[in-house]
Amino acid sequence: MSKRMNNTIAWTGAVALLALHLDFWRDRGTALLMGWLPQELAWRAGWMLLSTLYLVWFCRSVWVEED
Amino acid sequence: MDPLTSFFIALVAYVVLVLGVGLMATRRAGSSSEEYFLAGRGLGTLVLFMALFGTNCTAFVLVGIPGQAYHDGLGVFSINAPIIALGIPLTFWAIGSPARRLARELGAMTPAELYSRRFGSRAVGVVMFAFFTIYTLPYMVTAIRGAAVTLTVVTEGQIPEWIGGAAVLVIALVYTSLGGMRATAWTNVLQGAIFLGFMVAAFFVFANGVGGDDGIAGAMRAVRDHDPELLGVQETGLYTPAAWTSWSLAISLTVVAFPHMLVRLMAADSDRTLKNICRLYPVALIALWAPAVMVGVFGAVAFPGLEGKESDRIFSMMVTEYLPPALSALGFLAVLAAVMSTLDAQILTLGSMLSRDILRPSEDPKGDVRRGRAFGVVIAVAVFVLWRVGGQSIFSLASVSFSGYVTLTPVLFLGLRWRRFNAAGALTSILGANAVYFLALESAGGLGGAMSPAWFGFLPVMWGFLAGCAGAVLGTYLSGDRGEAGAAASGT
Repeated sequence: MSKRMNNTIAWTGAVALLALHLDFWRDRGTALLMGWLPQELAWRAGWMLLSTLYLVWFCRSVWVEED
Repeated sequence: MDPLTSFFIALVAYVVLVLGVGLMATRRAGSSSEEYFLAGRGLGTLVLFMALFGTNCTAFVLVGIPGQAYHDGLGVFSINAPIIALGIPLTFWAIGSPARRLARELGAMTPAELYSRRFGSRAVGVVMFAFFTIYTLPYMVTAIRGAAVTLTVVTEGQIPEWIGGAAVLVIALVYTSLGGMRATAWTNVLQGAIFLGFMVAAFFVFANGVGGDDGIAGAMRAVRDHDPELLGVQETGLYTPAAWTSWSLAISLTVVAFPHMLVRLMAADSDRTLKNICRLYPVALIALWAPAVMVGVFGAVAFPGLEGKESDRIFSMMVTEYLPPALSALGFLAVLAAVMSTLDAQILTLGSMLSRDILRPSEDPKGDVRRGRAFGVVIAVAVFVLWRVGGQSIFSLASVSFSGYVTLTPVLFLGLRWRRFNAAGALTSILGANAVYFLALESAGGLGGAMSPAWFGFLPVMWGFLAGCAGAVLGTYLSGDRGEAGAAASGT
């Protein structure tokens, strides 16, 4: 993929993740999913999994090593 | 064995270990200033990761976060952990990586020295040193107080506060002076393993304690039955949209602006190492933050009714209630390890900046090391004196400091990424950002208002950051100077 394309994906991904973190539009409930997992914790864990995958991709495709 | 004996045995073993590690690093540390201050710019993935993580995570995460979660519930996790798991690694790429390369090319060994050489301006280095010091000293004083109180409480008064605080300072100073950056990095591996391992183990023990035979599921249901709001996010204070947004900015950007963090990024052996650390960071943050928050949430069920700052005791109350003596000794040791893993880096970094940014680098490489060691002692004595005579005001400065570092980030970033950026822009940015930050603090209620909304509901840090960005651009263009003294080397 071209450098320009990677940069576009990087910025789009960062903005999307930020929008999901600033989630004031969401109903932040207090339910326990499956009877034990707080809904809020599940949402944040999902977000962190997404952001970790984003970081792994970012390190491989955007971050150019200059040693 | 009674709890006190267990604690003393664990404490002695820990002190012997960290001093032993310091001794192991001594032989190489004295050979040159680059070895002493930056471990020869040769730290690899595991050691550097633990050094950064240990330095980043203070005793506040172990003690203060459970205290906050006791009242606010899972919202404490939501507002902090996710955004730093993404934001901190991205700042390692945006600032850490080019800082490491440029520092190597310019021969700089401290953050202030790096930017002083980049801009060809001694004034920039001195101003950066001043703000780094102003924002770091209150932090160190607060950490020492936390360690001293922990020692006094655990030993039931057998170790008075002033002796406990002095002992922690002396131990950190000894191994830091012996082995420099390499000693602090190696001891951070041990210290980070202690507090990270303890928190993960404690989470499961506490869940079983609160949830009975049903373990985690039982504990979560007990929380829901006690107060379901603890399982969600509040809608007031720091959790309103404007405050949440500005706090996300602050907590993401501030860490890379800690001089004791930035200097460690400068000690990495390669970009590949920094990349590896970026991949590991989110996992480690979850492993530390989730248990820390849940200690407070479970604590609200186990010990209801604590009011205000009383909840800061919830960590020690849970440890004492649910853990056997040997494990509870490890819990209190984890607090000390978290304090010392940050304190050693701060002593080394401020000492090195005094040695190289205020005085000029010595012609004799070993002379630099001697000065660094001497200034380390000066910093440690200053922290002790501030703690004993500073009064309450010094502690309220700690929260101002945490956000205050963010006012330096426009210069840290643009200095490495914008070729035209010049010394006038850097000085305008730093001084303007801090002027606006303190004005916003005043409108938010004074020195205690760092976490309170200022203008339009945003925290003071947001206004300081925006002023820093504006000052950088205006100062650069209005001065007319092309500002490329060291920019060519930075590849900007």
